[in-house]
Amino acid sequence: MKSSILILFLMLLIGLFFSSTSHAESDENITQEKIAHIREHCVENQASLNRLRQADAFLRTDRGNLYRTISDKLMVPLNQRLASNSLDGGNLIGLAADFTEEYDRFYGAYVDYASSLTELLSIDCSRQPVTFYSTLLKTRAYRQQVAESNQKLKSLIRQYGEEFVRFKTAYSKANQ
Amino acid sequence: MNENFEQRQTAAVQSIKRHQFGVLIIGSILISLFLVYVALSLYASSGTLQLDLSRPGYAEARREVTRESEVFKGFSASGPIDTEVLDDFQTMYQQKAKEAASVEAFGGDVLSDHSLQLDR
Repeated sequence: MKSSILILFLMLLIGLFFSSTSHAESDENITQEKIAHIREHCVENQASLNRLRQADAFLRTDRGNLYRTISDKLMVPLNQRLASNSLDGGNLIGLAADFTEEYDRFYGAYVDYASSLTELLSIDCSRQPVTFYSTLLKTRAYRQQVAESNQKLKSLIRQYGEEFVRFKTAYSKANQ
Repeated sequence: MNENFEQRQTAAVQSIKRHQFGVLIIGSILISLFLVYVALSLYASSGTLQLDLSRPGYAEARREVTRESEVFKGFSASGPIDTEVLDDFQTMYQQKAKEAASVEAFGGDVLSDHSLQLDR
């Protein structure tokens, strides 16, 4: 019993050692020159990041409302109306489902990004430049995810529009 | 042993009965604190916290948000389908698709080392 506790304790110590080493390694990637730049531009960067947070918050609300409108007031009602008229809107239904799924991803990605940006703004970059930079890298990656998800949503909107035109053409030919 | 326990229990019940008003106030405060904790946890975990522009520090973003003068009604989910209805949908959809394509959101390299002057 005692030996198993000792082994567990040793494993915990080894784990802690490796985790602290890997953290130290990631910190070593930041050069002294970069640390100096972070300290030098700390105040203006905090102001820029704050402006970015406000601009992105507005963009998220604006784009989010638009995407919800397109989904809830256009895609879904059209699909329902096609179904109630016994018309085959298979591709349109698939694209609308993809759009809803991607919107959920966009929502989650923005929440992660905004949380990370808030954390970044709470760090005193002149006193903790290394922590500031590692959080900046994380925030940058989250913003990239938001941008990619936003591009996918725009692409799905375009695809739905093209698919609708195909559907309309086929419907017009069939009902001439 | 049992008698002692019963005596203590009776004393506790009597003490509560004597201070009913105080117990009511403290109980109400504890319940309300618990409910506030649950509400704030949901507010944070659902992501609403990150989307709430009414928070302090978002005055600029609030100013930019403008209410649309005309409410977009959208497409009706019921009714027959004919060419005219499909044309109406296409007009509405094209308008919104154009709005979506017109803004290049979250792009650019605003968080790059270069933009934040960390490489010079």
